Amino acid sequence: MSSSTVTSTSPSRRARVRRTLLPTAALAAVLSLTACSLVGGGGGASDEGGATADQTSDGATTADGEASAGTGASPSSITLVTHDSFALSEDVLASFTEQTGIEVTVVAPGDGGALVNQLVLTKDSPLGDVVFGVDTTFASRAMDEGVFAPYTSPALPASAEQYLLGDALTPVDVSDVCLNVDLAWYEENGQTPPASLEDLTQPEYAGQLVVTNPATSSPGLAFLLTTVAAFGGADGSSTAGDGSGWLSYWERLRDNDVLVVDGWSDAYYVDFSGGGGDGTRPVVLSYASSPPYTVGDDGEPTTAALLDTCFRQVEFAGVLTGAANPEGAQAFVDFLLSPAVQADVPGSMYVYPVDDTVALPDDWAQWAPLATTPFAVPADEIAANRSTWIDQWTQTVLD
Amino acid sequence: MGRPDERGPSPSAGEARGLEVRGAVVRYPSSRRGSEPTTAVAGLDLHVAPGEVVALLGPSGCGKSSLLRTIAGLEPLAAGEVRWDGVDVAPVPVHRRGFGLMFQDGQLFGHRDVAGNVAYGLRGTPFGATRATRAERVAEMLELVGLAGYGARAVGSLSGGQQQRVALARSLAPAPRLLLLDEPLSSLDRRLREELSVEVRRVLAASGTTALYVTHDHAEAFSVADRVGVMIAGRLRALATPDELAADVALDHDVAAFLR
Amino acid sequence: MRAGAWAIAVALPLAFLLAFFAYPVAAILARGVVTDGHLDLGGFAEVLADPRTWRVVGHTLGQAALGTGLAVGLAIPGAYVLYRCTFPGRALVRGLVAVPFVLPSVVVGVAFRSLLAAGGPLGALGWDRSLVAVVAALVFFNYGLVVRVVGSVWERLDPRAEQAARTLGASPARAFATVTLPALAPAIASAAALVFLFCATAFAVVLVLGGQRYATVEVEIWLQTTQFLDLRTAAVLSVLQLVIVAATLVASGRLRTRRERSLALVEARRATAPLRLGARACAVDRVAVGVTALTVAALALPLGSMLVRSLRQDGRWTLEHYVALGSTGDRALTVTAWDAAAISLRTATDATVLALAVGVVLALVLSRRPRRRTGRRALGALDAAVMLPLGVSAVTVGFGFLIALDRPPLDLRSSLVLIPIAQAMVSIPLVVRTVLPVLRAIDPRLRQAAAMLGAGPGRVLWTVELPMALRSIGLAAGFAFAVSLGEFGATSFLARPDRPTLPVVIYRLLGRPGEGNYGMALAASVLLAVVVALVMTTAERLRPPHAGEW
Repeated sequence: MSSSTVTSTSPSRRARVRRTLLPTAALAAVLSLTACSLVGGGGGASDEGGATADQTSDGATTADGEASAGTGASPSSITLVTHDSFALSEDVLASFTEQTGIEVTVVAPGDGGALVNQLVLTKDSPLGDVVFGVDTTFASRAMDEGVFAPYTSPALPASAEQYLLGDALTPVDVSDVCLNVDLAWYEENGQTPPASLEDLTQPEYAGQLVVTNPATSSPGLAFLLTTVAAFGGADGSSTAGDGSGWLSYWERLRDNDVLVVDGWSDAYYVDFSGGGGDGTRPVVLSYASSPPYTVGDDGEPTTAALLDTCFRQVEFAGVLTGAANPEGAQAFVDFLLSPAVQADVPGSMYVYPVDDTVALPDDWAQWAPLATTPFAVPADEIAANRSTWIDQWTQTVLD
Repeated sequence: MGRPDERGPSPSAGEARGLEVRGAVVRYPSSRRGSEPTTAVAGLDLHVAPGEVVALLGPSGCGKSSLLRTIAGLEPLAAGEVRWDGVDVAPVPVHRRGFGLMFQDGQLFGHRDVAGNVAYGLRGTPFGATRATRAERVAEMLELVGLAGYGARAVGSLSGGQQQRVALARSLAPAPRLLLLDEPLSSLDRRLREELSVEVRRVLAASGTTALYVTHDHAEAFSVADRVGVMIAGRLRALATPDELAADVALDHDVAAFLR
Repeated sequence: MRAGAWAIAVALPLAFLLAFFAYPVAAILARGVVTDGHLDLGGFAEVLADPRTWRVVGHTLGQAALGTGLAVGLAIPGAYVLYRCTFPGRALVRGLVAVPFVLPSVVVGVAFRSLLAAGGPLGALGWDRSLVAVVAALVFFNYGLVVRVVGSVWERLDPRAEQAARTLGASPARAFATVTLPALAPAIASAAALVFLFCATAFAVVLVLGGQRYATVEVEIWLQTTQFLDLRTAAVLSVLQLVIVAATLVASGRLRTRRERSLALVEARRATAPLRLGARACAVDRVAVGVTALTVAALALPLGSMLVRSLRQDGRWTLEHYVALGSTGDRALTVTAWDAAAISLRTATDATVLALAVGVVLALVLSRRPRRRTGRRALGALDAAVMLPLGVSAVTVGFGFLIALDRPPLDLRSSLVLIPIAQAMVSIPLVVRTVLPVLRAIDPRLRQAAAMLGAGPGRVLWTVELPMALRSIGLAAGFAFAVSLGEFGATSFLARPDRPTLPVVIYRLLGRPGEGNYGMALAASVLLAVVVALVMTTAERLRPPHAGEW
């Protein structure tokens, strides 16, 4: 599973390690450990390289690394830059290499925000050829910085056109960030679960909601945008709204004892009563896709998403400006829209395919419908107001 | 507590004054699991009268240092008892016994100067009442050991002999009711040892201190002590005045062999 | 020839630090203060005028001071009990207190919150998302570090100095305060400085347990860099962080030089005594044992809750989360947790070799005492500089790597070798601090004696110094290895999805819904903790006769 980057640098690195160690050769014992090391194990690397080559000839290569360069396979390769939640089934990713002969190296330098900011920082010397995982909330900034080269995929399904953004980003999957309720808790406590955003400011639901911080968590930002879209800005900067403004909604939430934590896992597993832990709050900020994972012994999920509280996030792919292999990158964008990948994303990344002709897994179809009228805020407006909104939110809710 | 003016309850009638050790046993736990504990002192009786200097002589490993550390309270007694003026000192913690201990290598505090070392034990004694009484006592002690004017010196700058003099002054300063000396001169060369042992004798006599003096050097023991005991394998095998021992009267084989 | 050898010994590790630390950090800072090719320091005025900046600096200093003070205060009795006394199970307890130091902070955050949150066993205390929780976590992480640093000196401190004080009429408390404490002061100062640096750069625990309300400089740098790409503000904050770190290093350096007065050290076996708790035990011993027992119990609590939850599913006891370690979870992972553990071990091996190679050579250089004043000054500066990687944000270094190492010959951004390099950067200061005191303690006359017998400088090094330092190098290796195993900050920016380390796998699992993934994350954390405890216990056995201050 070693890529050529490693194979090619390892001899020199090893030599250097050796040289530096010479004056401290008492460490000979430690050095012998490099036999089982990651980069020092020259023998191991070539063994694995050989295995990769064999698999390639069998037509079943792992889609990793350029190690097979020189073993007769196509020299073409690309580097995919993505976020740390990226995942595709191994055989699906491998099928790309099978079909095109292009080897894929995946790098994942952090979460969605870190990914985009790193792309902006390195635009003069890009980290790779193709990016996947830029979401609605960060898309505008990246586009404005000229990170992406224009490309419109011929494979774009009709259902994806509504999400198109400029001429460079290709929508690949969508997800709805929604409040989830613990049905079992409400049944036990003989209460009707809340249904709308407004319900949560009512005294009977006091102390029941846990959300995440928009400054530190992507669903947190999505929920902030939900409230912006639903209630509008006090300064009239945003879209729809009843005039009372999103900040005043947050004031009411705060007065109703909302709990803000900093990450999704924290909220879901610690504070949410339906997450398997000892949490006490029956309403949590999560995803429309979460309920199927709480299916109990009776075959019914114990939680449900409130579909009137959802913000739709779209994840995009794009070809990076200055890509070493733009054709390969374009082929990969097309590949992401292929039925095989589209069918794989629910299981591997908990998101919905952008192509609505692709069937969802059964439990998703049954328990995890998407919202019919999700909230949305235009990408350029998000880019323009992001830090202001987060600052205002921080001052209102935390300070 | 344990200072010259408050030496605990007076002895009940019939009890010996001074130090009384009866049937003392000292054991060290085994350092390795499963092995037997070592017995350092195996049932020892000893009496030191007030103002008397007794030297314990014996080959290394005979348990004499262990006995000293036990009397000081640094090791627990496995059996037997240690009494002072008839009172059992077992429940009294080290610092309240009013016993002083001078270590083989002095154990001077490197982060304090000479005066600071000598003054260390004065707290809680009449000498420690004020800065002036303290300074007076320190000067007196340094004078006694022949180091007048050395108060501000760093201990690291002293020679080995000087360091042991400071250690002696430090042990004597609080006027302990019993001074225990653990091979105080053994780290010095022979000439210095002879010179200093005479001086220790003088100092102990001058201050009227009751003392138990442990050494493996015959000449040193004979020149310092009123009585000399010979300890072999954790037992006291002889106890007599230097003259009697020198006269070789009624000594058993081992003791005679050791003294020869 | 000799000068040439030393020049190489200085140049190689220095080049490593410059290429993989100084240059990337400088590059990212430069992005913040250079606008259109001009130096623009306007950011400083802006950021320094913002009251929020000072609040954040206040939080950083306050939390670090509280965390350090409490960790040191609790660890001193702990060092006494765990290093000065012997009792059955001591090795186990020592291993246990070492585990938190290397647990990924995400796991610790969740474990703590499970205890402290409203429905948790300690929910009634109301400590959830408070300063108390943050400080408690900082103590949790660093207690074992202080115990080790202080204990390793204490267990070899000649007990007779304290006994001399006792026979002079000092109570146990006074003997401790006037004799033992001064002897331990340099070790305590050294430990406190390390802990202060770790506390001041704590990130995830602050966010998870305190929230943005208690944001520190490190949290702000992370926010500004990764979420807002406001490099101007981030640069100013990084400079502030460097100032704090430098001040800490100078202060601890001052205290540490007092250590030059050598201590009367004896073999550990002679200084330790069996723990006695009977009627004869003195009050001080009872207090020390009580405090330590409570502290260890408190440390064990989050670890225990982690263990319990890793063994439960749907309200019953099960081993299925451990069985699941052999799978890729609910398709949450690209490799199994066992594969990730293997990758972690291999990466940590590389990082350890690197850290030892650079760290030991640096320690050798730093152990020299040049005749010339300028030489001594240069070494003093190098001594402090070696510690800097501990005090600089992982985000700054990680982003620095991306923009600095993007061209040949250092085009390493997507290369796997960057991960062990980043991890080694964190371990190097620890290696130096472990090995250096031993090298410094070697009597120069030994070297002279060897030279007089005809050994050249190389042979002296080979036959005298390294053998004497060998056991401390083994100990340093154990620590470097354990630290690399737990490292997450820099690794997360560099990790390749096909080669995740165990902490990365844990983090990914925690980001997925489903009790199965959560249980598997905790099972993987337990696995990591066990590996770390094993490594640390082994390193304990390699304890050198002149163990370092670390």
